[in-house]
Amino acid sequence: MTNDPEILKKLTILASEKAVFRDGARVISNNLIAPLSAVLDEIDNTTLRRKLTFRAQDTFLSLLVAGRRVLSLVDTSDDLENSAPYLNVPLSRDDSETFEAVASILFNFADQKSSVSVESLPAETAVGRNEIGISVGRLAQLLEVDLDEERPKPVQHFVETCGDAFAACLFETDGLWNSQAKDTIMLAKLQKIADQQWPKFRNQYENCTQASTQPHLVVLEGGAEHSDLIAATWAQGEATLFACATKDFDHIHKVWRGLFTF
Amino acid sequence: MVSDELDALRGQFSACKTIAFADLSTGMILMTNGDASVERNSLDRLCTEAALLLSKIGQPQFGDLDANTAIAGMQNQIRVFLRAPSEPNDALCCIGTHELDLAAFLPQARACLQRISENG
Repeated sequence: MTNDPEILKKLTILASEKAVFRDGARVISNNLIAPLSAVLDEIDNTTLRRKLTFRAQDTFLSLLVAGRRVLSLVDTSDDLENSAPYLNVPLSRDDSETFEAVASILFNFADQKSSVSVESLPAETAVGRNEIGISVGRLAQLLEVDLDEERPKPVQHFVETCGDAFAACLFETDGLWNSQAKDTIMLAKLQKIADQQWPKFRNQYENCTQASTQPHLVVLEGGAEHSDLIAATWAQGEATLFACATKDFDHIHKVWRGLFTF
Repeated sequence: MVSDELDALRGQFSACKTIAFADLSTGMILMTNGDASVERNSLDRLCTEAALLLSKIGQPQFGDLDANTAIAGMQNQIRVFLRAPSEPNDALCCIGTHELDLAAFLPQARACLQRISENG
């Protein structure tokens, strides 16, 4: 029996995101997506039998995964302590000690400050009779992660994080503009841009860069009176137009990188 | 020599991979740094992007004035566009990684463009 809403959700995610690769591995976690949630999402999205190797700098962990279930822990880096007794031990609900130990190792792995990448390879080992594995739902329950939790969209998170650095800001979501401003003159200018220039500019820019599904940041110096910089960022159906001082741009750019560049 | 100026700037900033000198009035890239490995189509798009962000004189597409500097970020790349103050159709278009130190790069790039524009 197919789960149409779940399939639709996953197709939407696949269609809306452009994967970022680093050293051949796909980056799955940044400041917006917690490592543990990213790892569980990856397991949740794995149907065929694969060996998933998750890396956070020098720390790594390999899992045998199939049918959205973790079948066994295959390998880990030495810094993930106490993993040796549980390597290649088939997981099942009947063996709670192994299951909880692997969950604990996964938790320790995810307690990293750096971004996490994943490498997915066909699994070499033959299918064993006792390969029942643990569902990602059960794993999430044990690790107290809500897989269905609605995550904040990155542009909204960007606006909330950088709000104090903006002289004025317009934030578009679901076709409506919300505003915040210390400088009402700049807010009026941004509103004029939103009304008269924004749709055409955005369309032209996406055509020009041929990257309509990617997040964008555009910053102009000298583009408006009364403000050092005017800028726009947009991704995943949300957009913000903002004005700020040059001295605040370093902070704003750092936040943007943390959210949008992995 | 324009190419020497572009190569010298590229040599100072390893995170900046491509530096191109462009004429916004014709929408053409006139020169790139020597070790740039960008296809012609990509260079054409880069110049189109420069013209859109910096705008042709008196025709801002975003804002009410012609910008003199534009920074464009995407997931795996940052691009910087500069307009020469003395010759507004002269522009420098730069492609780099997000490791590019903008605070250090921008003054050097502006000085480079100014020299190219004045000696051109």
